[in-house]
Amino acid sequence: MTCESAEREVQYKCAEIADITSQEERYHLNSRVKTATMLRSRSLVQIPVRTLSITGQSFCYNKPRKVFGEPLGSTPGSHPERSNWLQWTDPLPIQEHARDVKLKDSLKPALEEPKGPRLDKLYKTIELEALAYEPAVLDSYEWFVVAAATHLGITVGKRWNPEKSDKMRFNLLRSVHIFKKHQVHYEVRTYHRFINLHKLTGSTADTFLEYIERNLPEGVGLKVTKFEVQRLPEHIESSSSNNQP
Amino acid sequence: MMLYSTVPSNQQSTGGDPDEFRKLDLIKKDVRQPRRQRERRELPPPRYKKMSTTQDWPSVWPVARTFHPASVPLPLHQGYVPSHVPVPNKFGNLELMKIPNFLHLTPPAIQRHCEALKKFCTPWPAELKKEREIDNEFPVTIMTSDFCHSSPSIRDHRARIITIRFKLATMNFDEHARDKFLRLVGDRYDVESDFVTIVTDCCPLRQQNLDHAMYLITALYYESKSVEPWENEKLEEDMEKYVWGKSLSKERLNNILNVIYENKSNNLDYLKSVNKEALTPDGIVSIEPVQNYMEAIETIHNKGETLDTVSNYGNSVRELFKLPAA
Repeated sequence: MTCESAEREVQYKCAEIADITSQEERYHLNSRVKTATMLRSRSLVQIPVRTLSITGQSFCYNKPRKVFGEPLGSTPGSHPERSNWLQWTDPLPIQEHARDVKLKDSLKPALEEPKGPRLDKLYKTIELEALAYEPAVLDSYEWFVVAAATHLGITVGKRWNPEKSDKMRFNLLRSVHIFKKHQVHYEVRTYHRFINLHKLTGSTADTFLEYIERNLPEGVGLKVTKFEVQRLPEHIESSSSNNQP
Repeated sequence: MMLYSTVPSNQQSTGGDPDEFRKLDLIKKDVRQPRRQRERRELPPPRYKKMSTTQDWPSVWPVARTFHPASVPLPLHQGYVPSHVPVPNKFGNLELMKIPNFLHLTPPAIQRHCEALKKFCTPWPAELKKEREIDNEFPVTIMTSDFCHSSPSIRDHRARIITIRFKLATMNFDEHARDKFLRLVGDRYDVESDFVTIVTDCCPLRQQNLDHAMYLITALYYESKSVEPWENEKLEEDMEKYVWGKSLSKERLNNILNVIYENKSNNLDYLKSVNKEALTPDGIVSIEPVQNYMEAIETIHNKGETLDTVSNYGNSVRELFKLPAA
């Protein structure tokens, strides 16, 4: 990074804290500075950096701090022109924060633990998709998963793999940057395995998935799709026809 | 073993003549002591040779570990071996070390793990053995995905997506509510399977998406149930399908039936058993030939003209007015 742009970045960060720069000024900054601030889109410019995740997604919500006792504008550093739900300060250490929380009485019942026994979840189906560059490793892993499921009394349903692997191909020049006629052709193959498991309770699923995920070999990815079954919410009247066969 | 004397070499070379003058050796020759040889112990034989055939393998190889030729008592090799070449042994075979091995997940090891894990598992409820019982009791299916792979972050943005699916028949809807619901959900409804599928991925966290989806279902439900004042302004030409009960045809048929009823030459048998009060536009619907006529004409309007529908229509009209068969 050049001296100038580094300087600008410092300026930018200062400005962000002190709320000096306008939006337009920020856009004219060096592109490197923009990448340094995680490629924020135009709509996200007003949001402070700390509310953005690594992926650049926003984690701000419309009504965050109304639960706290202090009025919103009074926090030192908050900018009056900002929309009032955004606090423009460094976040307090969590412990201090927690001590200051004064919940409104009306919010308390909503945050309490629901009474009665905690019900287990019910998974109608769990679909495992394992993918790797080595089909032999996938074979062994599939064998392991099925053996473990059988020992734990889980119903193993359909198992299949696509007939063809996913192939990512690309060409590169054999030479550094000339001789277009001479190229190398690379190919990366990804193999998939699908396993369906049926009728698992929440605790069985957690135990089993923890076990097979911990024993996932190197270079193998796993996608677990859960099909949880639930009742309709209480306030929605379900028809009587659903109790008939 | 070699023995060395402590006498300098120049003295040795001059011989042991004591009568000679001793030379003054200013530039001493560099005489190096040979390096002490480190004692080389004999390598012990590889571990696998000492292993008994009845040993407990899961305790030899308890966790995942790179392949080690000396501790695996198996004649392994990896890679293609041409026919005229002897099969290489497992020592120095790098490919065996590269590939992940499952030596810690042998069948007895898996069994042992699972027996230890069994106490955390709970059985599936016996009342929900059949698919239909599950669907009746728990009509809503929530689909989520978890991802487990090697990357710098344990988070995956695809894990936030929630897909909710339920059958429309489970909702307690009348005809108006069902029609309004279908208009609201649009292409999220599948006619063939009767499934409504709602996907939410607008929020960054899974719980938020789940709450949002539940909110959507609730909002759709109550919005479909409510009847706005402008919905009563729907005319016959606004109908999406032909409804005979709301058409002009019903009133005309009523007038005709009334005329026939009052006529002395009433030859319609079904009209003789009907009270005068029943001959109103809403009352005639309960008469059986009229019902048949209604079904036939609605089918011909809504499903199109085929040989069957047209002949049905003709038969119903003949029955209605006691006309001779074609």
